[in-house]
Amino acid sequence: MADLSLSRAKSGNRAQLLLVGAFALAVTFVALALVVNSAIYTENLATRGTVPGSTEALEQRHEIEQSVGTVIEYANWHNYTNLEPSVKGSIKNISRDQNRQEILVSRAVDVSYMSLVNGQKIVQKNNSDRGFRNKTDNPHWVLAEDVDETRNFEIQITDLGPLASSKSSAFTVVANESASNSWEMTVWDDSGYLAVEVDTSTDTASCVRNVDTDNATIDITNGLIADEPCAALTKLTINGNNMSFANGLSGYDIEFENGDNIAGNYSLVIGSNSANTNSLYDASSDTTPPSNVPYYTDAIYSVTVKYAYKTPDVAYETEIEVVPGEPR
Amino acid sequence: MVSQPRADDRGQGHTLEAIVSGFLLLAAVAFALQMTAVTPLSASTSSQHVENQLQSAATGVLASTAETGALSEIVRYWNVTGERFHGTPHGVGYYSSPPDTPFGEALDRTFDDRNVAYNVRILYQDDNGTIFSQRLIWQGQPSDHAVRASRTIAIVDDDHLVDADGSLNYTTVLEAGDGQFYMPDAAVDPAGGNRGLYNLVRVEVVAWRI
Repeated sequence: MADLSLSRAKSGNRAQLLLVGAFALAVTFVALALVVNSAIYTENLATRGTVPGSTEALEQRHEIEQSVGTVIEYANWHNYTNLEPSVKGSIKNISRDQNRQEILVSRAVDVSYMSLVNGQKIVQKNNSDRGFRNKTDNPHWVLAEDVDETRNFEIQITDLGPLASSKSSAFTVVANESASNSWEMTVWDDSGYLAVEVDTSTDTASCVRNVDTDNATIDITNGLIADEPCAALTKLTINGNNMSFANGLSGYDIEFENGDNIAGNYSLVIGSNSANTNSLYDASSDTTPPSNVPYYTDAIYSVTVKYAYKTPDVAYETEIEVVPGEPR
Repeated sequence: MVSQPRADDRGQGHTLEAIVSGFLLLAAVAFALQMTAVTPLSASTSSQHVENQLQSAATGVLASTAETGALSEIVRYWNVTGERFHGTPHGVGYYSSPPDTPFGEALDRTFDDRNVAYNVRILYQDDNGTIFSQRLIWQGQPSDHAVRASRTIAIVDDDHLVDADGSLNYTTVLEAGDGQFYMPDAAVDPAGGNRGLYNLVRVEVVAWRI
């Protein structure tokens, strides 16, 4: 009797063990699949951006800034008397046209004019014999006094011949705040190469370029020589100082020295009305600019617009100050 | 009387339970295997990572060419007499491979080595607000996993048309106007009397892996 009960107990236990074991394994497999699935789900979510539409809003801001900059430059080069209405009207057109394109992808964009800063544009163009002398043929002269902001300063050298062969008598652009605080750029011909040296009150940097043709454009505020970057003109930090045009100076005078040791054209836009009337011809009321004397006219220095961007997920509003070609 | 051992009936019970547990295990394994199907992140041409990378590359190409002026140049790379883009076949008017301009070279460097096909089109408007589209490059119907990037640039009245060798033509877009240039003047006269903006153009790139 004892044997029977024992064997009965044993066989009873074994049958349940198989079923329970299979059930346990099944639950384990399903739980494993669930865990792996949640890992895949999390990684999938991680490929999406954190805020939907935020990069779009910032890209559009950059596009608007470029478009308004283009329109400002057009107004400065073409409208000698009607600068403000031209820019305002073009900004309205930009807003309307951009909105029409963006509505198709359910975004609303609005650009509205807020304010502008008037300035002056100082230009010499179409000159081959004059060098960089002023209207009375003086090679050392002041372009503008007490300037705080300058942008789009470009020098176009059309003939490498007149360049000095050493630094001592070479053409120099000076941004002069005081006798001890100034920024100078010297341009000369270093045995066939175009050499540019920048001196501030604490640092010096230079770069040398091999220019193949007889033309070289020095874009001072963008830091380019013949469309290649020149470290001496951009944010080269020697001892942690920034070497861009007139950086750290305020209320400076812009001067040319040895203006007969260079040949070509130049243009710059300043943010105040202080062009030197004794050295520059006043072309503000001319319909076409003179071609044998450096002149100044009214120009827009910068425009501030309000930019609003709305989608069902994101609403973004900001003010953009558009200053095309400001020093880096 | 000695009763029959219960083990005889139990044999069928054991078998039945073994079969049931076998089925249970099989069903669980089949269910678990079905869960690990192809996901958007699996390695294939339609992976989400690949799409994000393509989108960034296309946005980058458009941004850098807009900065250097190459984007504005290709929009004006128009042959006035032939009424099509320079170098496109007559009657077709668009390219099937990148054109020989800085913009075409940028697209070539970014995409052609990576087995990516792309279509480029130019969207512009007229004064009434109707949006028109002009094909620039067409390489076929995009796949289901194509990405799109676009960039808006402003064309002003005194921008010149561009000749086949990249030099500026003497005709400005305002002079070419609606008759000779594919894009009309969409800017309303502001009070000053001088129109600045000619048209606001959106260049759209659709790219997909092949």
